[in-house]
Amino acid sequence: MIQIFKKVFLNQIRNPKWLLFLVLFPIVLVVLIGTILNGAFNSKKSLDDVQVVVLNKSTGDASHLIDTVSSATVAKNYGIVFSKTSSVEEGKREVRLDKKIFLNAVGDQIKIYYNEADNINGSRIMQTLQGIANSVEVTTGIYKINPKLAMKMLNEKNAKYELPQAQFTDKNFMTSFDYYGVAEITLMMLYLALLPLADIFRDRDTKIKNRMKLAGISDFKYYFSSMAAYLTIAAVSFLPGFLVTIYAYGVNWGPNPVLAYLYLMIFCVFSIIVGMFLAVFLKSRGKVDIIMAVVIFPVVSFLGGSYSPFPFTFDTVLEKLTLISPVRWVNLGLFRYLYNDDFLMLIISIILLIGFSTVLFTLMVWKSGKDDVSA
Amino acid sequence: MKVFWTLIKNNFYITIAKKPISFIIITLLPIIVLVACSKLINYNTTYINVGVCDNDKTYTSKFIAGLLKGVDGVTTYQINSNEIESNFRDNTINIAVELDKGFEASLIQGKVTGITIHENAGSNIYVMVSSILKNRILSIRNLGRATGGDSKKFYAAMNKYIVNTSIVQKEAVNDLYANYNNSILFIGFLIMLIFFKASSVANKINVDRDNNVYSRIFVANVKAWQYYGSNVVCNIAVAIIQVLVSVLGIVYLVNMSIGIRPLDLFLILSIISVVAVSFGTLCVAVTKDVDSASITSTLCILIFVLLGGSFIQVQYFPDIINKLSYISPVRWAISCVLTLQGGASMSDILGNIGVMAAMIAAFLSVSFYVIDKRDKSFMSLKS
Repeated sequence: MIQIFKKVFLNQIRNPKWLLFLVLFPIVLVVLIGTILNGAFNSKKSLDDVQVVVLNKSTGDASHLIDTVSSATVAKNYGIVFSKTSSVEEGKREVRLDKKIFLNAVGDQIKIYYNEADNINGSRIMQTLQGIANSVEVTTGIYKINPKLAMKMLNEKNAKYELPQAQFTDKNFMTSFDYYGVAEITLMMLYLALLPLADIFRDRDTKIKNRMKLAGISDFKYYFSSMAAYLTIAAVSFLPGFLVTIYAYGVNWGPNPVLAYLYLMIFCVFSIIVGMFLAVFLKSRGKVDIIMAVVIFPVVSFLGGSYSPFPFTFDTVLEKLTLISPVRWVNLGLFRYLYNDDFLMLIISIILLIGFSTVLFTLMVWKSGKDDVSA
Repeated sequence: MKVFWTLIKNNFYITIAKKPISFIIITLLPIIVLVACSKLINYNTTYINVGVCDNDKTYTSKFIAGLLKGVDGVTTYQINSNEIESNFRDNTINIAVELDKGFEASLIQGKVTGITIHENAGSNIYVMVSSILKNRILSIRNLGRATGGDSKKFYAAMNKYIVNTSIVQKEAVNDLYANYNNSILFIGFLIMLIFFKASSVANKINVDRDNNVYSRIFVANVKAWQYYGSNVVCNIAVAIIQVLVSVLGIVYLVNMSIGIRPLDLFLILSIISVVAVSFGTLCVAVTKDVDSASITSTLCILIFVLLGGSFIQVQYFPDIINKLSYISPVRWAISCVLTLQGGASMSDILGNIGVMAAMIAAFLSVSFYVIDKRDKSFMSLKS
């Protein structure tokens, strides 16, 4: 068994393309995605002033509403910067190119145009206008019942009123690096499934495996030793990336990162066994590559949240659907433990990964033995 | 040309006709699943996630909580008070609105109490929630003052006045379509699938190389360009079948709003498919075995897709990454879709199409140059 371990291990060292890929790519991905997403995460923290262009050809309520919103106090409090535009087409052009918001007051209506790529600010202006318009309607209604009270309300400085707020100051809330530090390492661990393919197909095509069997090395020993060698390579390869996430980006792996790394190794075992299993069952290298590259990797990584962070809940159909992805099990297990003090998903994921690994490994050894007998 | 045609037919036979069910499963199933799931892909990284915690459960509190639902750019989550902090901690929510018991009762008495907006220190997304809630809450409070604490009159006034005003109407900047803001995530994922598939089909050349089929083909009187060209033609056909199924699925099965005409979408996706195929061919040309090609293509595809702006819009990228992202063909394709979604015409995206065409030419030129050099050394060995 030790000889097989050495053979597989040395083979990977002598032909280090996978080793380099597994060492460097997680670091590149974490840096790239973390940097890209910092902007997106920050965009949710800080809403800039909104640029609004106005074309006002109304003389009625719509015009009055625009005058109210664009008054200096209201505009400042709502973070709106107003300017005028000369025509509908010019207004639309500013929406398309500059992502400004265009208000076109015609008759009794204000038509609002905003770029779907900036729907947050579009909604912000629309809701502000609707809220103020509604306040005017309410005050008008009250005026009919109690004019004195309505006049009093009109003089109240509502623009400066703020709803009661409470702020969290905890620095340990998840950042983009916390999320993608974990998600990209697990994504790359999924690609470990490709690692055993070359060896398994070569050993089969060159009859090395048959010769080992004749020498008394069982299928179990062959696959187990190979798996142990690939796991050792994985443990060594991912360590630099893992350390970079901790020391360069301060990614939160919990109070004991060593335990987190051991947990990740369980997922590595699973990925390696999936690759070996497909190689044994499908027999054609091209077929295995296509199934992995076209079906398994894109679907499992997407649903796992490797590109787009899905919520950590199971409320919607999509959120339930994401649970078919083993990457999702691992990510959820870690995140729910780290940020929600919830061990359940962590334990479930360990059981699922070990369970599936055992079943796939057993089937693989059985199938390999059966093929050898028929050969 | 006869040899070339024979190779093309052979490639079609091996890829599609030999095992049609396998072709459907491998090529079309991910697309079918994606199209079927298109309506479920409603998550957007740049949306503001609002936790709503309604402990009052009254007519007014439900109305206030309901105001946040369905607002463009906002996703709401119903949570309990004790879940607020953990949801902030794991970034599920960015802001929370907590309505305490007695919220409605205080409004009826003409006061605003029992509402708290929770947010992170240093965040200013309160302005978004405030724009939705503040004026409505103040109006409801004013109704409470006007009705003098009489709950019956208060409810009647609520029903009469606190409704969505029709004075403000959202108009689509694109005269044909609206509400397509989730479609880019879908298109981005579709493009990623096309790239992975194109690289896999191209990698068949490396499989042939490993199995010595490659050598046998060149021992026969087949030129390298004919062999590679037939793979490219077959690969393009497979990619366009994927695109066609996707577009037909979007139009006829799920009726998803993409924001552009199906024919325009088909054209853009077909062009990016040819880019994907030429890129896959380049990966195969510059590598010597299946593993190297897989590593190279996987690495580049992931970078292309991430820089393409399909998962995160490029406007949120840091400046340097934004400039760097122009190297990604996916960015040019996504930009075409976004431009058309904005109401522009096909003539406005000709520049983008030109850039993608240039990428196709560059990828294929380099591929055939490398292949030609390799072919010459192979031929010298043969002679």
